[in-house]
Amino acid sequence: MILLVPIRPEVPKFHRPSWAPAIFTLIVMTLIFIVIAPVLQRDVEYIEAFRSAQAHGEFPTQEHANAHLKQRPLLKISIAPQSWDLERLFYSNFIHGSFFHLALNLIGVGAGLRLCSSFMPFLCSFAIFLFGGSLGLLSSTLLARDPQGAFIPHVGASAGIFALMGAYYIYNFHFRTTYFFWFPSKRGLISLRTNWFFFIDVILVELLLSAAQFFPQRIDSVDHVAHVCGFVFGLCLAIGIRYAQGWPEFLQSRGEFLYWTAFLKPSFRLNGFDPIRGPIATFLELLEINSYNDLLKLRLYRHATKYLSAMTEEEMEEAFLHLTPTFMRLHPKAVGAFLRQVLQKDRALPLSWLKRVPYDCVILVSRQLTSTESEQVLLYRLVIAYRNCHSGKERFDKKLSQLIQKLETAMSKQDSA
Amino acid sequence: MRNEKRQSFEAKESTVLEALNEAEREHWLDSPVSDPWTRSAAFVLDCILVFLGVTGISSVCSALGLYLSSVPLQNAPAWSLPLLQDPLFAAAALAVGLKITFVYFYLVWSLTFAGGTPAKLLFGLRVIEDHSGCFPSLPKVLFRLLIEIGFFPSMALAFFDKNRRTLHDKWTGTSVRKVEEDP
Repeated sequence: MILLVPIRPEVPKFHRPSWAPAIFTLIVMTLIFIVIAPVLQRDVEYIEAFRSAQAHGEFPTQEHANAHLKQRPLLKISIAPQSWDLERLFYSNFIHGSFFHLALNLIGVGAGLRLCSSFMPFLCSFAIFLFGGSLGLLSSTLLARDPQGAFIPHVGASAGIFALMGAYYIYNFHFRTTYFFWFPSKRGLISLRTNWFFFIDVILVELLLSAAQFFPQRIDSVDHVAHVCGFVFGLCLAIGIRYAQGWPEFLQSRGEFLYWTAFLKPSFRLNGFDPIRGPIATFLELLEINSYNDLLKLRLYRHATKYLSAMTEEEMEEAFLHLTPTFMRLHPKAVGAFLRQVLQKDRALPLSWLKRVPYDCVILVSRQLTSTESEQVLLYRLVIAYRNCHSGKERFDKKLSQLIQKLETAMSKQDSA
Repeated sequence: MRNEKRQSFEAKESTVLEALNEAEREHWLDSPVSDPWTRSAAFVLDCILVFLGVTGISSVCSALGLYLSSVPLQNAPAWSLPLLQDPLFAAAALAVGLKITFVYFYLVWSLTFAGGTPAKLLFGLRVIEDHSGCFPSLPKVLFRLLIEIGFFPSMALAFFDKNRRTLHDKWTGTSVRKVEEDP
């Protein structure tokens, strides 16, 4: 997660998450670290003295050692498997053992809170961080089996970070996340699907390492169980919150959800909902708010494929506006089915769309129109329309003329056979 | 009669598809060679993804090794005894095998099958043969990889060469093209 840092869901500029909640929390966590630094120092000295005493054989049994460890200074403000309460459980989320530990977790907290601010208010995200993180830490302490670790403090914001990641995973499951991968130019950003990549990047390895944590020989000293449990509790909290909100799965950002709740749902109740024209108008309105929402587009084009005759020319024009190259490359089948219907019903392809669609997208979509003879005629018409739109551009003219010639040859080959 | 009609459609579909594939290859040959910054970004992302994959495999196998170490020999089935006698070695061997397989599929197979590693594909780049527009063959990809590893600093040539090609591009007759126009 450090090499590929998730920085925002892929949304339009005006929906991008705010830095303010993250910066506020980072400042608070840094101040807490500074305030508890003396406690950490005393704890380090206490443990050094304990180790020295243990080396001299002053603690004959584990019980004696534990009785001494129980008094360590850090346990006054944090939890351990055999020493915990609710107040210290909450405090543990804000305590870090070293500056390096704090620095890593600050990146995680900053990323997590910023990501979640696209979907929920700061207090909601912070509550998920606190409760999800606390439950993660508690699970880790209760599941700890190593008798020598009975009084090792479980501290850190990482369970809370994973809770935020779990919440983000639920809210942005069907959409893409933009990652920063430390490359020193604007190319240092890449968008990847949340549902599989985020899962692999954030949690899959943690799941395996947390299983390994239960064996006597540990792989490392990181509390993977707390991470996994924090993620699971974050998932559960987010599912519960979304259910309570009545958040439809095809809405991505908070802006869309607020518009849906404040304007669209009341108007459905007031004016009724036409099952044929209603979705077209609704999806187009929502796409005006977030034109990156591929799930909305898929629903729009699938509905339009079935009920194309119900669409007005203005709605067609608007629907084609959202048929972007990225969407065409990711969903060529849905686009192919829509275009097939448009061409079959002799509806005009908007010139503005034909002018801006790249050639590689035309090839991609054309592959969806090769199954039957009638489809191949539609394909031919599509390519002709595309060529007519780009006539006068020498490079394009030549390429398209060659393609048309190839299609004519291919289509007539079998006829003559 | 029905079968003949279906066969005729399938044959026509395959020739139309072939025509589209040919058009696509010509488009790739016509596309500009990728700028070195985009190639570098794809390279960095590839390194990160390979690192994540390899680290993930290491973690899986370490966890498996720990698990196998904790299984008592008397309870184990007969076929697993050779593994359990030295579980850490077995896990390490498995890790090496899986890593080699992963790296092969990531760096070699992806070029022959899709024309680019996952990062290149994400950036709209394709590695194609200069004379045909096709994806490079397996021997060519392996040779390309060997040159990349053996003459690693030569990758910086892309910044200075007027055709933006590196040594492994020139010696294998391939180039990296930006085939997807940015929206």
